[in-house]
Amino acid sequence: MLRIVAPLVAGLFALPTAAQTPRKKIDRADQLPPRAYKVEVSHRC
Amino acid sequence: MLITDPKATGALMEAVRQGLEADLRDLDIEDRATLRSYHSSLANIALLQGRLEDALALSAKVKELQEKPALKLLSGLSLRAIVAARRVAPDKQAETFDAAYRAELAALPYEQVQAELKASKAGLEIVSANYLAGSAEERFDPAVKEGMLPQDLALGAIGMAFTIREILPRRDAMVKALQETIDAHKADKPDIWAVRAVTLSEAQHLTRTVIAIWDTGVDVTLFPRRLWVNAREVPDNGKDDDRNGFVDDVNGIAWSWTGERLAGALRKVEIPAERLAAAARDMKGYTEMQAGLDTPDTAALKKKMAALPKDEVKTFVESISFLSIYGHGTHVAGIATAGNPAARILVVRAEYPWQIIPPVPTEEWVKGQVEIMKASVKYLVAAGARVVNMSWGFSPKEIEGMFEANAAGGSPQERREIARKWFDRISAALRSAMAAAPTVLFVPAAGNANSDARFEDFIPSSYDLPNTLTAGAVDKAGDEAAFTSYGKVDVYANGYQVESVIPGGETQAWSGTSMAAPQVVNLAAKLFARWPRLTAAQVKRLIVDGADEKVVTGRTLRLLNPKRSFELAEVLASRAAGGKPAAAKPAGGKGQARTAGARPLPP
Repeated sequence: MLRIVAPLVAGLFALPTAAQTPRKKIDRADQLPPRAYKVEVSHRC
Repeated sequence: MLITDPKATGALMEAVRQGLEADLRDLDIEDRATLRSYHSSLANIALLQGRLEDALALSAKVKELQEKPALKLLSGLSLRAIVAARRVAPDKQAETFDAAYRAELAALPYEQVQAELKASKAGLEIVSANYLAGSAEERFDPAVKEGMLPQDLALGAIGMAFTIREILPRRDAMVKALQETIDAHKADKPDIWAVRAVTLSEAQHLTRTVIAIWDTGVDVTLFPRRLWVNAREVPDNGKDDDRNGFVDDVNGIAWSWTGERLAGALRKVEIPAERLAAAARDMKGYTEMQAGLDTPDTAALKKKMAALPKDEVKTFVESISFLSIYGHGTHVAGIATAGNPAARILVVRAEYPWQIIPPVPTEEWVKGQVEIMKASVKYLVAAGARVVNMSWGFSPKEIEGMFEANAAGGSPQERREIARKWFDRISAALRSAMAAAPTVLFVPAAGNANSDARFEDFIPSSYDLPNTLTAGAVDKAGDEAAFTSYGKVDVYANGYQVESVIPGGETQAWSGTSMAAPQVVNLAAKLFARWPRLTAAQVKRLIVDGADEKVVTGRTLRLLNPKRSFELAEVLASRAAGGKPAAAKPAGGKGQARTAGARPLPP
């Protein structure tokens, strides 16, 4: 069975809110954060 | 199992929700396709988490972001009916869903959404829990084993979980309601293309025109009198007779995935013959279902899918994938050369992986792709090609995706960086080769992702060169196809349910911007055949200026109009000959001529 532990994204929760800092403008797809989510495999079913 | 275990999907959904909400909060994203994808996944998550009001609000946001009229009309339809059902007592839910779903369908302007309703019904009829579970295992296993699920795969997994939990239990009711809606409206869409068509005949004074079909290979036996032939090469002797670096390049050249030079205009069949034949039947059945038909092939496919065991999904999917790749170039060639006896096909064949998990990209692969780009353009220029069909493309995301599928390439950031670096090398090679061939008109397909090709950096369709002409897809009535990408589309052509041949000679109706591009190539080749002194830039201009303008939700689409482009070319030819500007008139047959004269074209 799989268990998702936590989102593993560098700086995800450290990002400032929109009110504090101008939001980063995204002009190209690969400027979006390369997110991946950690999955912990205890055993497969 | 990730998509069927509520605990596993529950944790994944919560993690993804946080990630997507952070991006929407912290980043200024203007790209509507990205926003649609994020909000749509968030709406599904909200529904699965029981946050019904949030689900409705997010779904409304997706609808607001839709630009294509049919997709806007249909956006959130099922989700709203599910929410309505969730709000009543369990024993009333089925009945409430059915009533809400039917009320939504009844309120739609059928003529605007009929193609999408038929396609939705086809999708519902073939999907099953086994199919989804089998696909998920194949697609996600390498990433899951590594313990990391990249976002695109995670969104896919959540979409599958949503289908299993929310759609499949209601599938029979949905199919029945859709069928009754379709049956109640027998009127089919009008075909706008026949009156615009131009057909050339042997009797006309035509010049042979070389069309490069840069694709997955062509069954040249189906086009006996329409082939470019390298007279200096002896067929099948295993030698490079003309010493141009290619062995047995009688009708063109071929490349392996990693850039090795191969011979043969058509790929070898790499799956058992009976699997290929079964895939052809399945594909035919599916396209007929999409068209709303009820045939022996559609019945057989439905029966097969209903009984498909999980462990046979890989074989099924990969057989269809092989057929799609194997047949692609032949189908394209049939469209590109129809009605043009002067067309001569030059094959540039490139091999693509057909397995669910593609090979890991390597430095050798990048070098091979760079070589393919440079040497193919050089070859087709030397062979005298006037126009090139490019029904393919890729972006950094595809390279990243190959790493992700294999759980290779390091951290997500490292994958992103290497994908960009390698993409830039391949793109630079292709772009500079195309720019250095101004006498050739390159016609890329826009892409089938319903996204902005420029935002995605999807190439070659996003190139803005004087000698590229990007094709988007509409259907037989000229309505934008749900899948067609946009951003840099010069002209739209019929790319939905287009009849052409596949290897062996069978006719099938395939869909994609891959089928729209050869319609544009077809017109370009006819213009070159009739007026060989036209330049690539002139032909591009004739095609764009000849197109009919159609305004859709504030956007102007140009629909290919071969007859009108021929009229403009007649005027141009008359001026070039020093005569008085000829009045615009139909090039042949009966048709609707417009009276506006041609604007001057660049020399």
